[in-house]
Amino acid sequence: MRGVLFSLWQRATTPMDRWLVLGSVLGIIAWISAMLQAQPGSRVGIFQENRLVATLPLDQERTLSLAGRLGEVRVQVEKGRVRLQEYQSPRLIGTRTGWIQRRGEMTACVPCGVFLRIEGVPQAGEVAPFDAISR
Amino acid sequence: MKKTLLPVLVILLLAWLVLRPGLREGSLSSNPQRSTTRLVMGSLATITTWNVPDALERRAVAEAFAAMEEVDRQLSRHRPDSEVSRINQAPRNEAQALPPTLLEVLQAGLALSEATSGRFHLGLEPLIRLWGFSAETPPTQPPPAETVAAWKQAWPGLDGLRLVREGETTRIILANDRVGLDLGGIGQGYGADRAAAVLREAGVVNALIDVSGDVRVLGSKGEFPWRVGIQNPRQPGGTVAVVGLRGDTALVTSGDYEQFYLYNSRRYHHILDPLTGEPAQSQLASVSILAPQAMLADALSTAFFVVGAQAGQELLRRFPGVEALWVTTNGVIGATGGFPQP
Repeated sequence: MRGVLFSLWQRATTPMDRWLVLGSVLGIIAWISAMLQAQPGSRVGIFQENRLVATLPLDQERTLSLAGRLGEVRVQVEKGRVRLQEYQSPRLIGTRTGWIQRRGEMTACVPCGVFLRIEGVPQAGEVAPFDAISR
Repeated sequence: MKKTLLPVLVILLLAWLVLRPGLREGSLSSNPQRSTTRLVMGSLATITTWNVPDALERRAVAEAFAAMEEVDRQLSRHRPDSEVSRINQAPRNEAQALPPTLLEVLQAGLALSEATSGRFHLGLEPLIRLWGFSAETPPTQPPPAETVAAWKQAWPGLDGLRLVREGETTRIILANDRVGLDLGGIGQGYGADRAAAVLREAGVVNALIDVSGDVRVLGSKGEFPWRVGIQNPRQPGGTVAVVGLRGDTALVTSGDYEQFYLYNSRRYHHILDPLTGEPAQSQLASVSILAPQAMLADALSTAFFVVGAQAGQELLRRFPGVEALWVTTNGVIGATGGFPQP
């Protein structure tokens, strides 16, 4: 059966056709792979007391300082990612979260009243393994 | 011409597979998913909707967050103006008025208290304060054993918190100063349920409400279920299972890893057992409960964690349609028969 199919394939195609098919298949595989990678976001929304106080592009290095409920909170953007650094928060959850960069990712200092959210939501086909984490 | 027919067909077939509408559903211009995050109920809460018209989504989500704010205004023990704070500051052994929201939550909590012989209790605020878990600054060592023993001695158990009917109204009586309301084991779940109810009333069919990991869903995410991971209790960022949720349901997890400290090689966490006056020692690291309402899942996850896996499974037999997955402190994963297979 395999021999018949191979023979049919050889009769129906030229070497150029085979290269064309191979290239197309590889191209489509590459395209699907790219779709399945989580896309980095391009902007981060900075929220204080539930108000959007700034939106920063992630491709420009920048440090922003906010007066949070418990003291200074710093937002640092570099190399397409962003992190939050609090200094007076009891548990430093935001600082421990570290860098975020993908659409929909968040980091927060709840007692400071500050959170960051990368704009957008994961697209269909992206690696967004969960809609939420139960914890 | 004839020779190129087969490769052209192959390419067309592959192109169709890639570009068919099902795969393009989430393209940037037509993504039906919207997420809104706010700080509410002392937590970060996110409401995600699927395929809801923009104007309806904005209005319904705003109303849902407002409903959670209202729940917090009544149930939070951190807000000095809340109903819970008013009752906690009132004299003991005197009947206090109850607003309907608080009454609803207390009735559900008291039923579970009785089912667990008081191991789940809504009156542990003084004990939580004693252990320091309610403080802004996290504790680093346990309180002196004699203060815990003194608390235990005066703890009235199930009688510590009573609801009494006075005509058409129901009031609450706290027995003594070792009893104070803390609805941390049930309040967030109730808030998520209220948000779900508001969204449904507004006409939203598909939504996921995530209040600091207490997850409540409506409907689905198009043809797919909502996918919810269950936190690995010993690996931050890792998961032990992924559950697909559809319809009107909730998944809530309680564990010893969110608020804890190590002292003399022992883990002291925030889920306290009134039987001992200490953090529950049930050999469980986390319990996830799947239930029709988040309030029930929230309360049952705490109760199951306190009583342990064996008594927890017996407890769940009283609640049809409720399933559990638990992780022991040794890393062994167990689940009830109806818990969705990962």
